[in-house]
Amino acid sequence: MKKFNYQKGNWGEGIARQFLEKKGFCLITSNFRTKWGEIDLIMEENKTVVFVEVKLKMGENYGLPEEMISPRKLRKIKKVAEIFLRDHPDLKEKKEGFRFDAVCIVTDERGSLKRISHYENLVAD
Amino acid sequence: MLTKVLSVASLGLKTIPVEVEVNINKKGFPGFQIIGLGNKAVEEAKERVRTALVNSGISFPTAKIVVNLAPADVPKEGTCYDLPIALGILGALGLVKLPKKKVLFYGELSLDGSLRHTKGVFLLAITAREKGIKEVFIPYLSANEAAVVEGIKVFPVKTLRQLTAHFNGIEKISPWRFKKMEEEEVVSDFDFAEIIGQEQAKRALEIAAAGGHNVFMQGPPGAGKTMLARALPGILPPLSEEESLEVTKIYSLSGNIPPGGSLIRTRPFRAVHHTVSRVGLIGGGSQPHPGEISLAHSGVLFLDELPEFSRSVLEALRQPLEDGEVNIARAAGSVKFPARFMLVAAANPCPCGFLGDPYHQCRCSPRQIARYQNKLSGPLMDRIDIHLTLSPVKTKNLMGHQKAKGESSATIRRRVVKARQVQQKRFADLKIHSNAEMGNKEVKKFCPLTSEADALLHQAVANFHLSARSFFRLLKVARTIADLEGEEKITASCLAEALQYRFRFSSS
Repeated sequence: MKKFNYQKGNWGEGIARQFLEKKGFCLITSNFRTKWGEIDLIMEENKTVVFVEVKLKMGENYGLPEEMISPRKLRKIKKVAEIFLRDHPDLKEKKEGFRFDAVCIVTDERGSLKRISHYENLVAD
Repeated sequence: MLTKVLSVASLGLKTIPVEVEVNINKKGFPGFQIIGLGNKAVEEAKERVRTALVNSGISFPTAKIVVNLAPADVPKEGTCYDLPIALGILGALGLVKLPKKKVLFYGELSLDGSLRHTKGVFLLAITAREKGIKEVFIPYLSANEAAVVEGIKVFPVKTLRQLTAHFNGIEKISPWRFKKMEEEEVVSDFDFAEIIGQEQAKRALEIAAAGGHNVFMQGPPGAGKTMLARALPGILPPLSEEESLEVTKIYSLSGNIPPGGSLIRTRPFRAVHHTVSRVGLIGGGSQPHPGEISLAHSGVLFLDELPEFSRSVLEALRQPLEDGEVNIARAAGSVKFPARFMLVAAANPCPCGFLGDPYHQCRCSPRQIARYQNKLSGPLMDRIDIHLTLSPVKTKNLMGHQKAKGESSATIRRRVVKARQVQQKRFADLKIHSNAEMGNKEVKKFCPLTSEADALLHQAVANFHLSARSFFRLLKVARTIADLEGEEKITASCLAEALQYRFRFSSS
């Protein structure tokens, strides 16, 4: 089961990445991991660094992917983003801004895509 | 989509209109936020509204919902915003056609989509009338409270579904029109006829009830202090229209009106336990709430075992006793609550209770007695018009009580009501209701003495060294006795009786 979740995550990130690249985003890195958490995708759009959280739900019986992104989760991502920027001072200087986005994917039970939503500029409160 | 729905917030007994603004943004990241300084109960409206809507067959939108309770700088509390928020969401979704006219919505939602009894409906109805708002939508169970206010249409709402059907023109809710309330029968715990002996105390309570005077009863355990106090509601005069409105406001605000109840027509009788806190008695809290003294407004506040109350609680009573209202100032703002009550207090003369009892030995040391009696400060006792010392009832009289039945409460009440009518006529142009509320100016104007009474008064002042306050209190009590007797002027016998009830420093 654990392995399945991991695969599902990778799969979702793949879908999100393709989706965003089509919109003109460039990948900087994926699965940036620290002791405190992980950022699924770090991308760039028009000189803005975008930190992306990807959520995938199979079937609609267990709630919406949007419900899984809580203020707490957002705070966590912010913290990890700060660590990322500390480690990449060059990015911090070259780029003009930073942003947090979310990509929520819903598929049916067999795995065919039903909906993909992109939310820009989330604010943790 | 942005919608606006009207509701009200209460600040003490005052209310202000609140605009509930609901914005649904389908593009933003889904979430539900309520802003406008709501407390925890307002915050939790999110979950109630969400579940109630889902259970009423509406799919809750995945969108960014922001609810603003304007004016946003006034702290709001309570569950009354559930209904306006739910309706605002329905309106923003285009599921309900909101009315164009100014209409008030108020009420707590249950998770199944029905409306619950909500406190403060009466205040809302009064606000609606003052602001010229013609229609209010409130929970069915609380609709009786609003229906007694003239000039507004009250729509009793049972469920959210019923409300949507109403606005979409499927099935209209029929409004309730103004209902006049009938008088209620007063039922007290005891009838005066059941109380054996203690004729002087009964007479004193009759005077107190007639004039709204404060009473202090001192006596050994088992003398009937508590019983007398409990029988008191049975002889109190009925509330006037104006008083009833004031009392109902306080009760509605504090959630003391039961579901389906409406105007309070009987005088409140509040028996307070001696462990009461200062805030519990006087009122307060970070969002000021009325205390027991305000709940006893126009009625009786009964403090049994007076010396057991903490000193600071008793001293806090002094100012409201004098002014008939209490001003509570907190960081959130200052609020005035009416507190014109009749204080009835009872105490034992000493810790063991038998000081001055002819048949029992008092076991207390002089020090103990002094400490016990010191609890009751002079300034507080000075504010009480009628002081009574009860002696124990002879057990012999209790047996064979069949014959020795006293006057019934109903008979006494008739006399009290008559005396109150005299007072009402007297104070018709003034803002007072009873003799006890007279200021010094009124005492001078309304308490003419016969020549013999005048001579007696001079004698009494010289012999008893009356303080200025007790002098005026004496005249007020004498006025009430004269009213009971149907006398125009205060006669010597009225004054002599009033003198019996004055405060004496050492009671034994």
